Amino acid sequence: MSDKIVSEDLLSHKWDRVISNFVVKTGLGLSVGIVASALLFKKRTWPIAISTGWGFGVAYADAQRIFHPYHVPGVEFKKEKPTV
Amino acid sequence: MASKLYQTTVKNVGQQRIGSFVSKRLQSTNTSAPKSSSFGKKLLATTVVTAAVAGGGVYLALNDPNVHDFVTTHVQGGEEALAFVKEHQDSLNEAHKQATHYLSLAKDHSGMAVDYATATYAKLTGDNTPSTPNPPSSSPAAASPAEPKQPEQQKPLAPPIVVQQLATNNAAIQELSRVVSELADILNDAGLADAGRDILAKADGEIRALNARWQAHIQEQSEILKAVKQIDQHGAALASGVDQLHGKAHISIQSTRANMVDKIQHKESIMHQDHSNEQLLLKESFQQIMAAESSKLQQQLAYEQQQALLAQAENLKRQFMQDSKVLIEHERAVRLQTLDKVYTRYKALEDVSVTQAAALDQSRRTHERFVALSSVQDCVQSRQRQPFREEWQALSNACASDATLKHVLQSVTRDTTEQGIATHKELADRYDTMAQQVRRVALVPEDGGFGAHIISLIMSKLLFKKQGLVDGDDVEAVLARSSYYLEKYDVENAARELNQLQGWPKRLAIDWIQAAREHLEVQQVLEIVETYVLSSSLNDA
Repeated sequence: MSDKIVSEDLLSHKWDRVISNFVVKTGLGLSVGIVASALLFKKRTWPIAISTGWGFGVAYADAQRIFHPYHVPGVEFKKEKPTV
Repeated sequence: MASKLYQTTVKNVGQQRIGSFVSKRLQSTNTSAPKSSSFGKKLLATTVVTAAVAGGGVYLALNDPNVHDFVTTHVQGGEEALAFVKEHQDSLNEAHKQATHYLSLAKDHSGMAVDYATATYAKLTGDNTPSTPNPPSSSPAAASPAEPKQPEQQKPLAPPIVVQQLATNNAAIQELSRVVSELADILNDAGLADAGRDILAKADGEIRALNARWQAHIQEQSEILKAVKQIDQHGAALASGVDQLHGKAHISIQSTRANMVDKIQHKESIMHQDHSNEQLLLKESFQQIMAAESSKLQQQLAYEQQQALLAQAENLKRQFMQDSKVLIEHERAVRLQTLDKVYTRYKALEDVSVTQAAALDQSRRTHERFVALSSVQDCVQSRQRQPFREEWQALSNACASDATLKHVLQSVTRDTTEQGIATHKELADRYDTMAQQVRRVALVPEDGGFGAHIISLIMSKLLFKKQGLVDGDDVEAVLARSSYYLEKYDVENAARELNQLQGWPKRLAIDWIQAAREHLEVQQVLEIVETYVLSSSLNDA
């Protein structure tokens, strides 16, 4: 980040990225699904649904990472009070 | 009502119209079968029959070899059942035997009881029946007569103790001997001579020894008396000799004294004569000497008088010179004193002028600081955010000479001066946007991910907005309190309140808090400088 983001706008920046991510990845999933269904799966509907779901899921995972970059599954970070 | 009528009409009509063929069809041909028994009863019956068949099969298998073979080969659990039954057959037989044994025992006991009962009955009724059992002997045996006590035999008499009485001069020893003999008599009379024999013999022996010692002592005493008498006699002889000597000495002393007195008188007269002769001689010589001495003294006196006069002359001269010197010195001192006074007055004037210059300098500096300070204040309190770098530079230059002010001014960073501080209006505007964002994130937990954010976004629309000084730790209460303080122009408390947020809301609010802090910092520094400058100007005055 070259510019310094004001802290109030921190969240709106994240939301922008997340929403754009969602749109892009779901769209990609949809298109891949349509192509695959048309070419490989004899024009059935379920590959489209699966692929769109995959795209949505990837977008969700990215959103999770954007919003919570330090989250490691199964690890809990605790704030420790300093002891003398 | 109408429907009923309709229905009955239909039925009747139906029966009439449709005819016997259809009515027969309509009627059921099934005879009402009895209600079949329920499922539980069927199950119970099946269980009972199966158990009976199994038990019978096992029993037959135990007794009949053909059935046994059949059961073991064709029936599923037959072998195990038979083995189990055989195992316990032995214990069953055992139990049977035990039971018969107990039964026989019981019979015996009962027979015994019966016999006993009949016997007692016979006894009670009379000794008629021949079959009586032996009566148990229970009469107590006669006690054996006690042996008569044998009379105690008389003990043979013990030989009596023989003690001779001692004849001595000492009364005590005689007494002791008498006591011992009496004891012996007593014991002899009582017949307990054996008991005291040894002791009395010992006592007797000791008394004899004591007597012997006493005798020895008496002898020694008589010998000592003889010796003392002899000494006495010797002493008397010596005393008489000494008296004789004494008389002889006295006589001789008196004779010598008389001789001496005569001699002394003679000598005295001779000495008197000599003495008077010598006195005359001494007088004459004395007179001569005195004359010579007096002439010498006169001469000396004259000489000394001369010398004294000369010395006095000398003294007077010296004194005169000293006095004149003192006077001169005095005059010089007076002149020097006046010089000193002039000098000190000059010095005082110099000091005054120097302090005056310093005070002027100080007041100039204070004025300078005040001017710089007011320029910075104007800049800071303007309507918009303005950078105040040059003004700040001027202020720090003006305050460079004072250590505390320099230290205080250093706490504001260069960036702040370059960017300026947020005005109150700006803070308030920014607060609104910040509060809106914070409200959206209010319900996100510490480790919440994307889902938590979405939920918080939706649920925060349902939260009530609070206003004024409300108690509580939640985000709404904190926001309400800080906005209240901000309206009252109390930026410090607003920032403090917002600092209490935690997690995501804090992360969003942190820049606003920072801006408010800078604002407060600069205000505080300016306040400090202002008070300092004012107090120093009062000092100068």
